[in-house]
Amino acid sequence: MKINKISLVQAIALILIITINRLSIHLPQTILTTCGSAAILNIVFISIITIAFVIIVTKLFKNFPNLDIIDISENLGGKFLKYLVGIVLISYIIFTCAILLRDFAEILKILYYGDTPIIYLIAFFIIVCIISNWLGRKSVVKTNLILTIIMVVSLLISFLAVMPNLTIQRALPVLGYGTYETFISGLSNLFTFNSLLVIYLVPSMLNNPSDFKKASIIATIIASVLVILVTAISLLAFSFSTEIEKISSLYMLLSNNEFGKYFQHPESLFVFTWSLSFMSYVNVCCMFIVNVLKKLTNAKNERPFIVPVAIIILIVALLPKSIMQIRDFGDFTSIYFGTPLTFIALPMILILANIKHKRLHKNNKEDFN
Amino acid sequence: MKNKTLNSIKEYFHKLFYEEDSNDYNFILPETTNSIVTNAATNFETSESLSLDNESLKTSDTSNDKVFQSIDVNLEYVKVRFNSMINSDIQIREFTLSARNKQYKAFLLFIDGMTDSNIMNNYILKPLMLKNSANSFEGAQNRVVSEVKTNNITVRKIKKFDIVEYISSCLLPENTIQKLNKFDDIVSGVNSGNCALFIDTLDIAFDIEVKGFEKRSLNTPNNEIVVRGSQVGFTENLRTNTSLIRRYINNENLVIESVKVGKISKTPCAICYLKNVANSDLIAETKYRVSNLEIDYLISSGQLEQLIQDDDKSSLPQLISTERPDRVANFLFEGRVIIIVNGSPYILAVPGVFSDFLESPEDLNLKHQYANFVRFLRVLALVITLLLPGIYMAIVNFHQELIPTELLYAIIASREAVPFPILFEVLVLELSFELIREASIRVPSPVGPTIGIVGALILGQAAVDASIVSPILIIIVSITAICSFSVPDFSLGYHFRIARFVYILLGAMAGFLGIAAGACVHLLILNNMQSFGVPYFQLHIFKTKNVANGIILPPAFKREERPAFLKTKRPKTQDHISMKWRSL
Repeated sequence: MKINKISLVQAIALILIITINRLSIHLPQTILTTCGSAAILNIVFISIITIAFVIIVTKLFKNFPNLDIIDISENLGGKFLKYLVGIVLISYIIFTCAILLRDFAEILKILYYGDTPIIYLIAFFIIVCIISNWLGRKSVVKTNLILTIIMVVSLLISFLAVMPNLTIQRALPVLGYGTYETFISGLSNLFTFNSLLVIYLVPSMLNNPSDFKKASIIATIIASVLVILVTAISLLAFSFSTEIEKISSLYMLLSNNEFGKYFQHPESLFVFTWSLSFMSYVNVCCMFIVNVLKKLTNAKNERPFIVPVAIIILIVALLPKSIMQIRDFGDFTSIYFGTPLTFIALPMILILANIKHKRLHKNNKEDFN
Repeated sequence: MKNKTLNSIKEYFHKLFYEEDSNDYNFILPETTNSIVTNAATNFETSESLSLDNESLKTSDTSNDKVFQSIDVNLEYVKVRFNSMINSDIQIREFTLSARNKQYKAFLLFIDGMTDSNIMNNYILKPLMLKNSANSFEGAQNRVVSEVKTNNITVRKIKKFDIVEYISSCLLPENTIQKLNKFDDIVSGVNSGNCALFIDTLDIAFDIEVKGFEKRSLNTPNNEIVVRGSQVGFTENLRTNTSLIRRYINNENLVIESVKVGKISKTPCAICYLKNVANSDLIAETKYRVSNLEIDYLISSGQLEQLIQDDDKSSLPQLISTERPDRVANFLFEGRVIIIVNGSPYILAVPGVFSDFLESPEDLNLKHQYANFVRFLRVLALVITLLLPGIYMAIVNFHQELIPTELLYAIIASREAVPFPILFEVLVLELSFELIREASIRVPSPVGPTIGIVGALILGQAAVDASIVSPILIIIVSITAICSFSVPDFSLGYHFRIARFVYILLGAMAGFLGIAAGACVHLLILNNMQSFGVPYFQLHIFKTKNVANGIILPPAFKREERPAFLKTKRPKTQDHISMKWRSL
């Protein structure tokens, strides 16, 4: 009985939650800073590249149904490669999760909890993360599906809410700082989709291996649409030269909007939904990490890993000293480590594994003949 | 010593990482295993085969089955058809019938609890079994009707002795007797409370009216009151309850199995299901759990519920408890399994999923527009009763900007004279309300309203006047209380009452972040739970098409499917176009 396997929709939600959470923080502002008024054009370009890339990755996985990147690494390079890939993935996921968590906690602190220690706020996420993973993968995945839907709906509502405040002229000049900056230097914005790293871990979780392609592509398309919308709204609502980096640009948009007499500032309700989705994000990250750890150690029981992983996330989240340091750390690792890992290193492993697979297949055929 | 310590540490870690938790009990309801029934049930070709009468619920076509002349064959047939080996209330009384000093093997078929045993004993069994002037009369076997003598040849017109006529007119002093030769008619009669008399050598059976339901002693349900619907509730007597269910189901596929629970008490329990609808694994799992209870005694269905539920740590109800026979009949038709405990008027239905506890028994009796309106109100009430005090805490402590400035001023002004922190104020008032509620349940009914008046009106007003609580909080707690009464299920209401306090604390600790953490954990717990192999909470509740078991109820003619999670042998309840009269 496939108790812990996940369905197509659940897989889409898993991939999506990792991507869309960054939208409510400073991601749109980073894109605006690098591309100026060409941010929309740049992100459309990046999205197309990402979708094409995901299609290629799904093709590379075709020969390895039900195997994730850890299993494939073991097939390709034995235990050494398995441990290397596993440890790199674990470190990266822990780091990005912790940094993003701290970033969100800092935003909450600035907005509502001025006198509260940051550890107190992060502890809420960590406790939920421990409880969720203790309850099991099934419960994390199912809850994530519900919370992803809530998050997507909340994002769409916030887009609709800020629609009247948009000025089309802010997208001009269309090419922003220039063609080179938009399409060549702007390639660094691929980091927006670094979170697609999880698609390398999803195949072994799927109930039906043939759903992998669909799940990856659909999730990437939905994530692309949302990223384009958030970038467009951020660009059209503020002048790209406006410094709104300290807190979430989406929050700023909502708080500057008029919602009528009775609900003067409903943005705190959006913060509520974003908190929920961040909790789900941390749960999912922890689930992936524990899953990789379980594979690396061949353990049967994953529970002993949960608390140490959660504590490590907490410690890493507490390391940076200020919100600017967090963002510097985050952007640096995303651009110089996350992007090469997601878009170069892991696909290389897949390509090599495919070559090995073809050779083995060919040799087997020759032996048979 | 050192090695021993090292070994024990090694063993501990090995256990920790490489041994699975032995406490985990994983039962997942598989697809139905009875393929014959599935095929028969899913192929809906004619409108006749769709109506939920006797005909449609059969696994194979029995409409042409006729009574056999051999009593042994008839006996075997009814035993198989009524599942008499497991069906505890199906009674077959074999005896020897005396008619004109001749002995015939015979048997009576009836359902215990639906027939009047006095009538059966005095007016059926006595005349048939006891030797008396009627059945020991040794008259001529053949009666001469007319006689003509011609040329020393006598031509006699003889009416042969007719045992059927003889039994019907001489031995059965009953006013309603039918002679039937089709098994379907006989089964229908037995299901409706008659008894069937089969006699050896006869290819007919007597359908004798001996209905004897419990009528006067039945009461209206106390806690599941409806406006449009049956006003009959279950009683403490198991057999009365099974007969109440049979009156609704009226089908031989309804199996009522007897189980005794408790080593000392040996409490009679019954497991009921529709054999050709319910999932076989669900039936087996229910029987397995009920039969494997090593307890000394069992008094009520509430105790049994706690003993057979999947998750004993969660305060959420996992089995549906009802005192209404119409609701139970509905559950059985859906494909659930029912458990009756002798001595308890509350009957358990398994599996129970979250959406079941938001349904009122009345929903299905109302037009879908009305039902959806009240369902929406119920969901709204549920959210309010769970979160309102917590949200109030969060807004007042952390998110003041959410509410209009005027309202914020009003709240601050109303709290000005109150010397306590908001958390204390909310907890005191919520606890007071819970005390009043508990007291009003325990006190004798004539005093109940007094407790309400004293508690709610006098104490509330006095507390505001004494500046112990703010008036706005009285409004918040009152709204919460009113909404809590809208939760249709008693057990779910308890769960929300407890959870409300947790949300109050979380709201006080971290505002919306705390409430979000609570909501996330709540969702995780809901998603982790199972009830008899069925996920407790899933997105099926948002399915609006073709099922009656969702948040939105479709019109009656569109309730075509049974809940998918039950994985029944008959996935459909009606044809795609059930109202054939419209298309004719």
